[in-house]
Amino acid sequence: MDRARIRNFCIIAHIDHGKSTLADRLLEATGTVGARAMAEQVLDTMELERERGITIKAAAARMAWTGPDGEPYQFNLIDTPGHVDFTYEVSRSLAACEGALLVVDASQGIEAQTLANVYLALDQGLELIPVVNKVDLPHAEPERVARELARVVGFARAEIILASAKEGTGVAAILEALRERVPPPAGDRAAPLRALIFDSVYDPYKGAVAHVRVVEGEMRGRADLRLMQTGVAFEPLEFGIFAPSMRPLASLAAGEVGYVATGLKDVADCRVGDTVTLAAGPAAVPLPGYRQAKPMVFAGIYPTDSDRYPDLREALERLSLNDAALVFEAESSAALGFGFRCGFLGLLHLEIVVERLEREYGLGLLTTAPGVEYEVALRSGETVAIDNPSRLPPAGGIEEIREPWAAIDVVAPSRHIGQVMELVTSRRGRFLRMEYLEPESDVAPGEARVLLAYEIPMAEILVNFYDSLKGSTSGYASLDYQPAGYRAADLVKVDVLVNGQSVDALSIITHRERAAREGRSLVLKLRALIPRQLFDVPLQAAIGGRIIARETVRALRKNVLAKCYGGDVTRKRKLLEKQAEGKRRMKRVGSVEIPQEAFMAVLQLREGQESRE
Amino acid sequence: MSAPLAVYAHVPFCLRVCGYCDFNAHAGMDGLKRAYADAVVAEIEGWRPRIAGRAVASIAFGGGTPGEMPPESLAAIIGAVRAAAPLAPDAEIGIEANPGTTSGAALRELVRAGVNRVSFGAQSFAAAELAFLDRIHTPEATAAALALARDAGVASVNLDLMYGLPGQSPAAWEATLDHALRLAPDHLSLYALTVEPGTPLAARVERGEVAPADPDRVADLYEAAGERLEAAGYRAYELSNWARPGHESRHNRVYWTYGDYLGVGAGAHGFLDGERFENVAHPRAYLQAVARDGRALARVERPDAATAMSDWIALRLRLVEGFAPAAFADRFGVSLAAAAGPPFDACREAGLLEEAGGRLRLTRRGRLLHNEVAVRALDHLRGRAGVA
Ligand SMILES: Nc1nc2c(ncn2[C@@H]2O[C@H](COP(=O)(O)OP(=O)(O)OP(=O)(O)O)[C@@H](O)[C@H]2O)c(=O)[nH]1
Ligand code: SF4
Ligand SMILES: [Mg+2]
Repeated sequence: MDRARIRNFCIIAHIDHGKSTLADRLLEATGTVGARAMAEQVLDTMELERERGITIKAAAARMAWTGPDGEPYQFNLIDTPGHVDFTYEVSRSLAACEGALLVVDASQGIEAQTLANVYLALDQGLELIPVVNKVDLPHAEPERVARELARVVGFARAEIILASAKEGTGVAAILEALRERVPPPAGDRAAPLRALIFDSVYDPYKGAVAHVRVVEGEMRGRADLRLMQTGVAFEPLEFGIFAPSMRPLASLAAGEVGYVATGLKDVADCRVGDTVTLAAGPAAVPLPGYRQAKPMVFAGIYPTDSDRYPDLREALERLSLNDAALVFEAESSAALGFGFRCGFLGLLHLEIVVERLEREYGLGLLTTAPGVEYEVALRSGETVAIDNPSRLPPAGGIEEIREPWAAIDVVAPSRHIGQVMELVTSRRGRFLRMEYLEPESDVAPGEARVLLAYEIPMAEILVNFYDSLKGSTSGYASLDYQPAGYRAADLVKVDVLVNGQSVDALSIITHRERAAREGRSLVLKLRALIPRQLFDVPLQAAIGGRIIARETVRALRKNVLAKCYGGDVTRKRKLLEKQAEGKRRMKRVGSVEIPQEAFMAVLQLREGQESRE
Repeated sequence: MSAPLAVYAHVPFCLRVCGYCDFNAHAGMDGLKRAYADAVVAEIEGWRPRIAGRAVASIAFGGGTPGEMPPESLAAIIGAVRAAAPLAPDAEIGIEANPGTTSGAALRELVRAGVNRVSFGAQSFAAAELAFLDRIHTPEATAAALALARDAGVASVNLDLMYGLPGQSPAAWEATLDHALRLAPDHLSLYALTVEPGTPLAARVERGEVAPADPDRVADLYEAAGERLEAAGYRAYELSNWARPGHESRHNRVYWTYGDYLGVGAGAHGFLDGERFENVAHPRAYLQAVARDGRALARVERPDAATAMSDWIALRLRLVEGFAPAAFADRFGVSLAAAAGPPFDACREAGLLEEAGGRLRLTRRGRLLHNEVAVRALDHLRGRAGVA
């Protein structure tokens, strides 16, 4: 295909504004997916995406379309996720495109991730095509949202397309705008091959399958390829395009988006951000690649069955191929044995990773309470990063502990400013600035959308913050956050002893003034969460060796079936099997069986505070 | 000559269904009773080839309320068993009865048919508790029924009692026990009230109308009862059963010692030559099945070695006397230590098991924690390579 008739674009928006549904309409209008194969959000193929109704993975699809000029065009679409935890998926997809459809819900208007995505796309120099979607909704206000877009991003009204992805209106205009406004890819086909890996997935038959944007040159035949960063060479098993499922092709040339099945079994050899070139006649310099995503939330992941540690390692390696934002490193816990400390972009990301590991790899996992990464300046002059509370050095050796802060943007109607302020300040946040996204005079009193910017300790927004924000604004506020450096804080470690033994996985780092209170409620929560054992189990909280709270889980007294009725042994056995199953899901620490929920007790701790406020 | 056999016959009819009951029991089907007895007789005939030559050492009628069946129907079923296999001369033949629907005439007829053991569902001697349990009888009816059984010449009389009722005080429970002891039954079964999912009682608990008893308090009631019954000359021989010497139930012992039993009637369970059988549960479906094929099997299962061992252990440990480890090795050809040493050691260490006279048994504390031992054994056996 003549490069001039190729258009590479992605669809970006705040969560739920209709990206995947709009993708459906484009696939339909171009005849890429036939009426029979069509499903709602057809690109959301992962079981988890369908269950939750959200996009988690960016998905690419090639479409053929005949323009009004009668010429055939090739459109390469990438549908992206909207949730803030998956922003890394968006930023990588952008690098494979020259344009982006910016979708905004006509009933919600600009929200926090709308802006975040706009900035990402503009940074990459992409041509933005604004689409106001869901105009069919009874409470849609397309003109108001169009005005808002014009004001905030600087679009001309004429550029903004009104659409309903549900009903298909505006789709023709969008296709035409893509043809007209998105520049065709640049890049020399005669140059040595350079293709950027923007995503990757492990396939049991094809090995690591790299999703690529060919920037220069061409892939053809079975000529050996080489990955420029890892230096690994391989003979490609096949390459091709997403249509939207994988379809092999004879060549893939500069400007095109597709995949290469590398056959590589060692997934570490094929990383997102690497450059594919030819083994014979390689390019001189690799493409810039990506900045590695910076994880903000850390948690330990352990197999409940310690024998499955190697399986967990392999599962994490394979999953991280498909989830470039996931980082992990081996760690061992005195209480939990061998596992991994993993870094995530947020709690949803963590939840999705754990669910994918359990489902796709059949693992039983135990997750420790998520926390942030601290910077600890030692007396020795050294600075260490601590992402696991139990690893905090003894207080005597510490000069200063610094905690991560976040810059957050909240978008909400002006009538909710008070509630947002209150919530953020109650969590140690600091107000930075406020900006009206539309003039107050344009809309009913209290309705004007406002952007509120704050700085707040990351640990404060980790748990339950988003829910509280939604709760206190009747669901109207949206949130975006970014790391904003480290600041000194007066922090201490609270340890928990179960049956006299310190359980590292239960330690927390918290503010000194809150430590005693949190230690007390932590052991209270644990008392409720740890089932009674065959003996009394003392639970203690300690700060630097000093016990500050104590509770006891009393020994179990009764667990017996009343009778074995009429010789029904099977029924009795089923009950025992159920109990055995419950035990198997617990982790044995010393001689005490501790359920998964207990390791999350610290989260409930903060929840409790919220409801008291 | 094969080992003796026990026969269990299920009678799924009750005048009224109690709110806590999750047995296979149905009200308002009295019209089916005669046809039902015929079906059970037919089912027994169908089993003939499988049980021929095995002496029947006991027959137990459970339910439901077998005592509400026409006595001649029960006699016909006993006759069918006799016809199918030789009945041991001292065979134990027991029925369960409701004190509220017991008559002297019926009891006399049953004794003539060979019944020598009657178990009354007394449950409580407090009228309010009986009402809470939806029982149709009064405390006085229980006393009267027991007297009738004595008059009719029933050799062993049992009373079933329930404890751990919501709000039941230790004093209330002791009053019920004292009342029962004054009637001097030969045998007592004490059952903790269990809120079974799907029952009307469970629904009341869910709606918050009824607060289930605290399990620790229920444990107190169990221990208090044990002391009282022992002082009165009853011996605990199973976790929920006490008897005067010589009045232990031989039929139930077959379950606990992993012996063979035939189960007939709706939803009945049987265990023959290592196979477990279960019949179709609903009375009408049962009748149809027997009419169609002369039997009503819903499921047959041959437990694998790990399951069989675990069943054996769980059942045996319900007997207060416990078991000799050699008996396990005799049955399974592998020593108990090899098959399940670690969980047994752990439970001994935790004070749930003890060794006495070469036998392993639950300690007093362990009696209330039987599941803890059984679950550990099950888990170990299932996880052990080579046993599956
Ligand atoms: N009424 C109406 N509903 C729409 C329209 N477009 C999308 N929706 C609905 O909005 C919801 C979200 O749509 P998606 O397409 O999954 O949104 P998304 O932007 O892909 O969501 P994420 O990928 O999770 O960020 C779904 O229930 C859609 O059916 C539209 O034009 N009109
Ligand atoms: S009498 Fe017994 S079998 Fe019948 S309903 Fe009541 S508890 Fe159930
Ligand atoms: Mg989507």
